Amino acid sequence: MMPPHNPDDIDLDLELRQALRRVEPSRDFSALSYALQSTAPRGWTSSRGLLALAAAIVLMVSLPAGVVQYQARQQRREEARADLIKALRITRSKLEKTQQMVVRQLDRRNTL
Amino acid sequence: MNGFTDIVRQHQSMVFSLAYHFLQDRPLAEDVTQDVFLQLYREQDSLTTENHIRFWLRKVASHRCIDAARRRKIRPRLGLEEIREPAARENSPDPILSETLRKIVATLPETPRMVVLLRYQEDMDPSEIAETIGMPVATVKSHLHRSLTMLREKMQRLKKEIVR
Repeated sequence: MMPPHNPDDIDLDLELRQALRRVEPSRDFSALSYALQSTAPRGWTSSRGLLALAAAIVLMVSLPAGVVQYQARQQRREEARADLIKALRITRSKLEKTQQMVVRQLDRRNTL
Repeated sequence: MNGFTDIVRQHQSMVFSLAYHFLQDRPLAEDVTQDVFLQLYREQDSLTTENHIRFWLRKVASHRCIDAARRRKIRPRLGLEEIREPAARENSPDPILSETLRKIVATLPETPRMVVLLRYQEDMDPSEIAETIGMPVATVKSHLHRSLTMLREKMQRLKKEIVR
């Protein structure tokens, strides 16, 4: 059942039509169609497809940066390892020299 | 100029207005409009006539708007203090009264709100609205009746508040 009509109803009808008249968007959505036709074939523009495209772009951008970072870390690790080996060699050499000195001192004391 | 671009130009204000009046949120309405046209782009081969395209756009836009509103989970609650006093009635449209009505319409639950929009923005009759939203004509008429009654009551309350 529709509401009963009285002069106020007609006003409300008119005012609703006025209040809810169409408005123009601030963006021109027809530009979207050019973008769609130039970037992706029809049938490939689902949200999932667009997400996959975005993920691939992010991966392509972030992957080389990740590789460079990994290589730099590896190089620093190699350098640290080489430094440690060098330090151990020096220590070992000094210990050997000290040992030889001690042995010589003991030999000299024994001969006296 | 290609066919799809023409279709978008021709119907963008209809789709955007439905979304904007329904959601009262311009960026969200633009997102919904873009989604509707993206879907149209995928399915345009199956839509042959102008009437079919218009029907399809109204149907998809209605459902997308209702989904967006449900996801947002916000229905504007209207306090009378938020509404400015409408100017004295004249023949010319009163922008404050229009704004007040839009705000009151925005407080309706999703389905009746869309019914009111299709009725008054798109000038559709109840049987067309029923076909678009996918519900019985009697339900559409019931939503319209209740919504108009509610709108009238709120306007009356507002008048009383202003007179006091």
